[in-house]
Amino acid sequence: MTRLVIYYDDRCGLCCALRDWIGRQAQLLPVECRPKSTGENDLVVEADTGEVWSGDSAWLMVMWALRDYRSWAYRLASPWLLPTARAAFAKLSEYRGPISCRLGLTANG
Amino acid sequence: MSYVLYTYLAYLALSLPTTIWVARTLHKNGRAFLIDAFHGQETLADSVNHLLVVGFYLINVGWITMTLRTQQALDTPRQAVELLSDKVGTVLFVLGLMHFFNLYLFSKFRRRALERLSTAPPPIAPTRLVTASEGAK
Repeated sequence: MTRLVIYYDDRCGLCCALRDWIGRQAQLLPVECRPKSTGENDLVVEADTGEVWSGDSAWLMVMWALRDYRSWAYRLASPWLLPTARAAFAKLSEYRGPISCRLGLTANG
Repeated sequence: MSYVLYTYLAYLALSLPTTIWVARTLHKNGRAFLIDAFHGQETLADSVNHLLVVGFYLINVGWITMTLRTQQALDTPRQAVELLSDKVGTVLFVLGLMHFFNLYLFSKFRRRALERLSTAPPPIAPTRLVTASEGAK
């Protein structure tokens, strides 16, 4: 695995803010962010090996690609924390619209 | 009075060499862990190793000197030996805690180094696989 492509929701302010944030982070493997197609609801991460992660697993993969957050990706993927992490990521995805509004984040393509 | 003085001297004679022995053990055996953690950079590993040992000495010798004093009256050899045992026991316990804390640091440094290697596996299994012909969405 040498690179990852993240398919994010470009109509969501929070997602656009996170995309910009990812761009500023030190990456352990190159990450490219692309707007996802309209049919897909979840965040999707695709590796050059053909492996695809969607939903909460995709969140973990995004953290794994970033130097300062890789330890956290492993920690959250441990059997103890995974259920909580999954629930938190699911809630974050589900309420990304209201969260974007509350934080005043607007989609900027 | 003389019991107190002898107890103090025996306490120092037992505690200080034990501290030196534990610190040397850490220094000698922790090196390999640190070299691995710093991707073979021996100079950096030696430097961190030395700094850890200095911290270890300062905390332990500080603890030993802080807990030397006693208010207890020592009238019999039995009381003296019991007090000595209490104090040396506490020092050994603190040394043990410090030792495990250092081991924890060594293993944490090493784990972090291994996680950052390009061969580190993803934290979670993929949801699905796509073939090259399917392409990206």
